[in-house]
Amino acid sequence: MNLDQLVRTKRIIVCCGAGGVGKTTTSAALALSAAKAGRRALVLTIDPARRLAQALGIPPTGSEPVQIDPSLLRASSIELAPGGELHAWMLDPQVVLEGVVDRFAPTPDDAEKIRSTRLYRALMNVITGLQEYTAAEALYNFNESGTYDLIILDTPPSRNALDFLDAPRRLARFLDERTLSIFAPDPEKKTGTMIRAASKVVSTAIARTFGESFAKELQTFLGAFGKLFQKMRIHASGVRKLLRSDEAAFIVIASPDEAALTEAKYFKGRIKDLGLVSEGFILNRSYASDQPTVSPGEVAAEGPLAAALGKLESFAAEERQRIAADRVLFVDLEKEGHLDGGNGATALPLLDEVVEDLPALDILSGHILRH
Amino acid sequence: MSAVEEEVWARELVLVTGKGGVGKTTVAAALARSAHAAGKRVLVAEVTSDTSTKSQLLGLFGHPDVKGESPERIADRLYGVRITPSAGHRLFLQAALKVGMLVNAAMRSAALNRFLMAAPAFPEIGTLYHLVDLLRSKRFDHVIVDLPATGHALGLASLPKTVLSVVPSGLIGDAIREGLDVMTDDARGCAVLVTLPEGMPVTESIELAKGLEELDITVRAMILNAMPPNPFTDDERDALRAHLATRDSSLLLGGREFRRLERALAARAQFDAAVPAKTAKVEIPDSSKTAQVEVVDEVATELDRIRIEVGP
Repeated sequence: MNLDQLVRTKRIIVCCGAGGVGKTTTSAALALSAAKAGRRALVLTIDPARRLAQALGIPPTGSEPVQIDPSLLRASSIELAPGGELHAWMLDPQVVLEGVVDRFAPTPDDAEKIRSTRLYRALMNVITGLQEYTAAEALYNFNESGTYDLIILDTPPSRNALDFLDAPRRLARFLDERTLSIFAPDPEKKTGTMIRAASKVVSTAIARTFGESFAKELQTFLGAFGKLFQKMRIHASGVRKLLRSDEAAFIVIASPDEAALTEAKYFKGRIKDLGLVSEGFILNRSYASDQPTVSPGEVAAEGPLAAALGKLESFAAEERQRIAADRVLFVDLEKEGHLDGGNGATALPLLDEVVEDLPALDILSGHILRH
Repeated sequence: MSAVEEEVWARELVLVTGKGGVGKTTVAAALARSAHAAGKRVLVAEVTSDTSTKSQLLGLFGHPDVKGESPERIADRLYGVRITPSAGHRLFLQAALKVGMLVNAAMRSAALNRFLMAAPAFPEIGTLYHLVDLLRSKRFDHVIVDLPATGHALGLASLPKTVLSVVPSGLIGDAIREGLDVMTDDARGCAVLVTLPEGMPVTESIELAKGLEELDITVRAMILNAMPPNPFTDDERDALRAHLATRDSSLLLGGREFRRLERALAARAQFDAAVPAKTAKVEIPDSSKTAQVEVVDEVATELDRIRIEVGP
């Protein structure tokens, strides 16, 4: 897989993978690489690493994307090609939902009505369910705005993270008029007997389950959301179209462990199920491309260093084993990555430092642009 | 009254939590194994919304294909289950509608299913309801839950209070209040937090512990997982560090593993300083085993040694 080419040509890159594989840092490194290549790049991340945000000099829960100060980049000896810009947004789902309501509610009064329901306030608190909607929504908006040449999306760190990919479709289903009319029948609209009957059964069930007051509130809420939904539906299909196009690429990130291949295949399968093509795999933080050649025993030393080098032999043995294992894993990933129209795999090294500052990101970027 | 010494798992509800990739599932499995070996009736639970894929947690007990929305027997006194939104939805519809035929009709209704799965928070409410239903059954001495690795790590734990603010009454409200009572009752429920000996994971786990305490959920133990062994004296580490700082030493085999050890030692110091006194600190050595099932055995053996002093 040619990461260099991807960051130079695509408009959207979605990074998927299990939790703990380093999606956020890899996404940031991809965005930095694009900026270095002269593009206006945005990295959109959910559940950001706070220290990464700090290193980039941006607030972790800002209401909008922030451009990384070019002087901050220069201070870390990072040169962007002319036109290159690096932007980041540590995405806050609450802020996005607020924006949706403000933008689409027909009048400020309607927006206020939506915001005043207890249900809306609860939605704001339940971050987990909102992330996917938010990601899809933000992606669409930024793409529409044309402010960026490339948007890198870092998906939430869970096995269900790909719910995000399904979000447009789920949203579309949720917004389906037939579904909505059952839960929040429009009193001014004539509906069929079937719908009315179904509606009655459902409201009874909801009232009994959640209590009368909640059931009423739910209907008010959905009623108020109705008009808003119609516009959002256009977005749902817009997002879908965008993600299916040649301008978007999906990359699955894996870290070298026992479950890596299984996990990578799982995510690739999910991407395929959604009618999309995965570009390939990144084997992150691996020793696969490493070439350490000197054994501790070959170093001439005395005193504590000699003793230390003696004890380092077991560490060296472990490293040799890991290099071998990572190489085998990489070959497997590459093979798998070429199936179904993909472009294989790329290995990124484990850095000696934890990647949470710009110089470290720049080292990773060096490996990305070199490929 | 003198202090009592208890095992890590000695609560009715044990929520195992932490970021992705820290070994949460391994720890959950090890806690279950340890409690089971002590003669308890144990339910080990995985929270998921997708039962079409194999269960990693139940795979550690040799049952990866368990659909298991209701507890399935793994061994005598040991059961496995997958806690899912749809099982919760079905259970509360059963309770609400009473009539089986209506429940089936409702669950078959595509519209209802779409609504329950697509409306934000409803899947989580289903998950919570399923968990409460399992606690209500009183079939188990210990329910050990492997919480999903969510971005918002408090995820499920923060949900009951939010839901109750919206749905104070009705079947759901009652059930959720019951679940919240168990979670926040120090004598019945607790959280066990898992992290790795690396800078960011340790910082994040300490924040997570604070968040859980704010929700009145007791963090019973914090587990520093996969701590690498340190065979070096301080002098030897200094010498090696100095050598690795010289040119060309990047080619030295073992150098990277040594640096990993250095980072782990720094992270451990940070962990030791930050874990509150009332939370048990547990360190699990890095396993040399590659097969996950063997790792679980090792971790269970380590956890068996831990006793948490409670009272007087």
